[in-house]
Amino acid sequence: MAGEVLMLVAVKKIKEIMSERIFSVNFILGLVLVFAFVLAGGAEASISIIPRVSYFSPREQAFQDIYGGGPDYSLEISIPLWRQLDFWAAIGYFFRRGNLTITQEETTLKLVRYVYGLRYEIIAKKRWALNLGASLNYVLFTELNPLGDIRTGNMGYALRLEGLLFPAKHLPLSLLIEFASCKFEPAEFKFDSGGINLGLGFGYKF
Amino acid sequence: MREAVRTRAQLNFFFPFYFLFCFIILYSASPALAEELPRPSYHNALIVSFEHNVTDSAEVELIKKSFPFGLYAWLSFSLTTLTPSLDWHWNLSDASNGLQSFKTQVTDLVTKAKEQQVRFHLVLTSGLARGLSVYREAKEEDIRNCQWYNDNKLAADDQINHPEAMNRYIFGTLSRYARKVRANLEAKAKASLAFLKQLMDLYPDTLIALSGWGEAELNYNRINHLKSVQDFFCDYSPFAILEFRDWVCHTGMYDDTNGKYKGEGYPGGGTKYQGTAGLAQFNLDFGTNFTTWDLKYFNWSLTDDYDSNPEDNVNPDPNKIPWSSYVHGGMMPTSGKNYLEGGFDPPRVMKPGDKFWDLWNLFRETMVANFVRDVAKWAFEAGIPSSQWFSHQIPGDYLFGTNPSMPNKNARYYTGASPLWTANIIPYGSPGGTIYDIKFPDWFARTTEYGVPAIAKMSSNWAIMEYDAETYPIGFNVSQSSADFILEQYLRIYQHNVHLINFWRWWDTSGEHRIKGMNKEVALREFIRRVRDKARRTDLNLVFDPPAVAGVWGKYVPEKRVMRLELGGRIWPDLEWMWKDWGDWAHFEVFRGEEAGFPLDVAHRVGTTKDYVFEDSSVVEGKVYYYRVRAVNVKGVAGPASSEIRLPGYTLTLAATTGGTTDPAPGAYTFEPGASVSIQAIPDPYYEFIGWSGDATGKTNPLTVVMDRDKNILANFLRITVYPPLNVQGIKLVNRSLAQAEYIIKLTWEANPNNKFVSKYRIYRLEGSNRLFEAEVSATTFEYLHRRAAKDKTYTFAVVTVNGSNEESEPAIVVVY
Repeated sequence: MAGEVLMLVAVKKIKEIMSERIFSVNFILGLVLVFAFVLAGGAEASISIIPRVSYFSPREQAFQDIYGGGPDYSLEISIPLWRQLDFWAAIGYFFRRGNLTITQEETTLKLVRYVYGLRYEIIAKKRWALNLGASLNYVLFTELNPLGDIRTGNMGYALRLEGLLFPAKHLPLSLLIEFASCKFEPAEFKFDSGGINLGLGFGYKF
Repeated sequence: MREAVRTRAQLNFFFPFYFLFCFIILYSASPALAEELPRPSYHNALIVSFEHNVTDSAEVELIKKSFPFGLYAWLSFSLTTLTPSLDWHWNLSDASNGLQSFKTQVTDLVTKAKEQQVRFHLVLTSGLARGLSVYREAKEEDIRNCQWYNDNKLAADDQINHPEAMNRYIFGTLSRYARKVRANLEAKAKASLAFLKQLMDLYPDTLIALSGWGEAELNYNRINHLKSVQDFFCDYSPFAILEFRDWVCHTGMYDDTNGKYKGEGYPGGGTKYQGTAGLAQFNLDFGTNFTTWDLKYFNWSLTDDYDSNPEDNVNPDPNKIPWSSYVHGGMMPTSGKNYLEGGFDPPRVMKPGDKFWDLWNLFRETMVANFVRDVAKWAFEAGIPSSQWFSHQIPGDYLFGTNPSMPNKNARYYTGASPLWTANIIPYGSPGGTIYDIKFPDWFARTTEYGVPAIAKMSSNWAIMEYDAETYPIGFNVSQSSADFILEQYLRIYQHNVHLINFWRWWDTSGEHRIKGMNKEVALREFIRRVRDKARRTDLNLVFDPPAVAGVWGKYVPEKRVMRLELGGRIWPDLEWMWKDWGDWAHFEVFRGEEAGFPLDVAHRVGTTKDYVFEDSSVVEGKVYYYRVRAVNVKGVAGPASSEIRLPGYTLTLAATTGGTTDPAPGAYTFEPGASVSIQAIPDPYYEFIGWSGDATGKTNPLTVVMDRDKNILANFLRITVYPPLNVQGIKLVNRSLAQAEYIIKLTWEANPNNKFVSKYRIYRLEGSNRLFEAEVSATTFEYLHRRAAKDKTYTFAVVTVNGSNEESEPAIVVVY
C-alpha cells in the first residue's frame, strides 16, 4: 500500500516537472553542452570556465525608470570547436526591486538567461586575445507586484566583444562588452528586456 | 389587662398578613396599570426583513403597499449572503483598498434601500464554510487550509475529480491555527466591518442589522444518508489537530500566560497534561496510549514560518502541503516523515460516551463557536452595536424537530459541529439562527419546535434567519396550510420575543419557499397588523394609552366664522410618526371652555375628529375661548390633554429667508397673551443662521418670545458654513511596472481658505443619479487615488469638505475621461 502511494506521488511529481517549460529549455541546453564536450574531447581542446559579474544597463527607458541598471551574475563555459571558433554556454541571473510609477508599491524583476553561442578569435597573442561572439539567449522573465504576477520566457540574441588577458597560463581575465535583446509582450506592454552588459570575469582554463 | 395585651399581640402578628391581603384585593380589583405609548426605536420594533433584492424597485414598492407596517413593525430587506474577498497576496495592512468591489456593492445596496425608504440587513459569509471559491488559492497553496475528513480525504471519492471540487465541496478549515488564512480573514473582516460601521453612521435608519459569519460549520458535503454517519467527520486538518492538542494542554496559542487565546483552553485541561508526565496522565484519563504529543500524521510546529508576508508569493512554511502533493486516499501514511508511531491523533471513529471522543467533539464544536465569536468580537471592536450584529448559525442539535436530549439527531448535527450554543456571541453580538420548518406529505420537520424556545432563552434580542413557516420541498406533492395555521406559526415565533425575522423568501420560481401570492402572504399581512402596535410585547391585547397631544394651534377664520384648530398630526414632535400610523388610535376629543382651567367633562366637550383639523362653528366672533385636546385609543382610553390654548390670541408670524426654516415652521400662529414661545432657527445643509430681524434681534437660538402683542419675526440664513475644496482636478494615469499596468484616477484639490474648521474630505463617485460613497481622507490630505479604473470609461467624482459637525459642503464635481 505504502509503495503504491509513493509510486503515485512520484508519477505525479514527474508529470509536474515535465509540464514546465523551464525543463524543456534546460534539457535542450544540456544536450548542446554534452555535444560540445564530446567535440572538445575529440579535438583534445581545453575548456574555460569563467564566473562573471557585469553591470547591466537596460535599453528600454521604462526599464531604466522602474528598475534601473544593476549587477548581473553569470557563469560561462567555453570549448574550442575548430581553429579560432569556440562554442560557449552560460547561465545568467539579474534581479532588481523597483516601484510602480504612481503608487510606488514594490515590484520585483528577475531575468534568468540560458545562453549558447559561438565566438571567433580575431586577435590572439601570447598574453592577450580579442574575440567577437554571437549567442542565442532564452530569457525567463518574472515580474511580481500588486498588479499581478508575470512568469514567461522568450528567445533573444546577444552580440559581444571580449578581451582576454592571461596573467598566468591557466587564469584568463575577461573584459566584456555585450549587447543583448529579447522582446516580450506578456500583458499590457511590449518591451525589450535587453541592454548593454559591461563585465569582468576571472576564470580557469583547463 | 392581660386580655388587652394578648389582643394587641394578636393584632401585631396578623397585621402584615392583613396588609398583604388588602394589597392583593386592591391590586386585582383595579384596572391594569396604564402604559403610555412608547417612542418607537430599533429596540422595541420588530424587524420584518424580506429576503429579496432591494434593488428590485417594483417589488419593493409592492411590498410597501401590501403590508400594514407601522410604529413597531419595520420593513427591511435582507441579502443572504455577501462574501468579502481580499486577494490572497494582498498587503494585509492595506486591506481596506483591497475590498473596493465589496464596498461598491454594499454602498449600492444601502443607497438604494435609503432611496426607497426601507431598511437593510446584510449577511456576511467568510469564504471558508460558504463562498468556497474565495479561499481556493489558499487551499491549493497548502491543503492544511482545507477541512480534512476522518480518513484524511478532502472530499468524497465521487467529488474529488470534479474540476470545481475546491470551489464546490472542500471547506476551508475554521482552525485558529491556520495562521495565514486567519491573517487574511482578520484583515478583510476588520476592514469590511470598519466600512460597514461608517455606512451605519451615514445611514443609521437604513443599514440596521448585520449578521455573520453566515452558517459556520464543519464540512457536511459527504453526507450520504445511505451510508454510516461514521464516514462524514471533519476536521482532521493538521492545523485543527495541533490546535486541539494545545487547547487541551493550554500550550501554544492557548498558553495561559502568553498565548494569543490565553484563558480559552479546555477548562478540564492545562498544566497537568503538559510534557511527558502530563501525557501519561492524559493517557490514563482518556484511555489512550500516545507516546508523544507530536502529531501522528503530518506533524508541524508553531515555530514554522507560516508566511506572514503574503505579498512576495513565496511561502517558506517548511511543512506546507501543496495541492499538487495531495493523493486522494493516500494521506494516512504508515511510515516515512509524515508518520509518527505513537503520535497524538484525535479519535477517528465516533463513540459518544467515550471520554476521548467526547473531548474531541467538544473541541470541534468549540472551534466552530470560536470562529463565530471571533468575528463578533471584531465587529464589536469596530463599533458595531452588539444589538445590531447577529450570529447566523444552523442549530444542528435542533434540526427538524430534534433537541439535545434526543438520542438520535440529524446527521448534520454530527458532521457540522454547530449546535445552537455556537450562536451565542454575547456580549459581542446577539444570537441568530437559520431556523425553518419543512412540510412533507406525511410529517412536518419543525426546527422551530424546540429551536425557537432554546434560542429565545439566550437573549431577548435574537434573530431568526432564513425563516419559512413551511417549506414545500421540491419533488413532493405538498399542499399549503391555511393562512390561519401559518399565522399561528408566525405568532408562535413572535411570542418568543424575536427581534428580527428574515422571511425566506419573497419570491422563488420553484415555489419551495415563496411568500408572494401564497397563504404565507395572507398570514404575514395579518401577522403584521396584529403586532405592529405592540412594541414587541407578547400580549397582543395590550393597547397603549395615548400620549399627550402636542402642537395644537388655532385661529379664528372670519370667512367661515369658525375657530379652526390645527393638531399637527405628529405623535411626538421630534419623530415623523403620525397618529394615523398607530393602529390603536381612534380619534381626538376637543374640549372648550370660556375660562382658563376649565374641567375636562362632557359639558365642555365640543366634538371629536379623526382628522388633524377641527373646526368649531359654535363660537361667537370676538369672544375668547380656551381649548384642550386629547387622543383616545380603540379601547376608549384617553390620554393626557394638551396644554390649554387661548383663542384668539396674539399672532406670531414667522418667516425665514432662503437656506433654512424655523420650528415652529414659518406661518402665523396664535398664542394667548403673555405666552412664552420658543422659536428655533434651523439652517439647511450648507447654510448658517446669522440672526433674527423684525420684532427680534440678535443670534440667540432658540429664541424665547413673550407674546404681549402681534409679532413678525424673520430668521435670516446665509450660505455657507462649509466651502467646497478648490481647484479639484482629476487625471487618469497609468500605474505600471515593466510588463503590467492599471489605470488610476488621481484626484487632487486645494483647501478652501474660507473654511474655519475642516475635519476631512469625503469623495463620492457619481453613477447616473446615484452618489456612491468612495472614501474619506484626512483634512491634511489633498489627493485620492481610485485604483483599477477602466481605460475607456468616463468617471465623475464629487469631492466635499466635511466640518466637525459632519456637515458637507456643496460638492466639487470633476469628470475624468
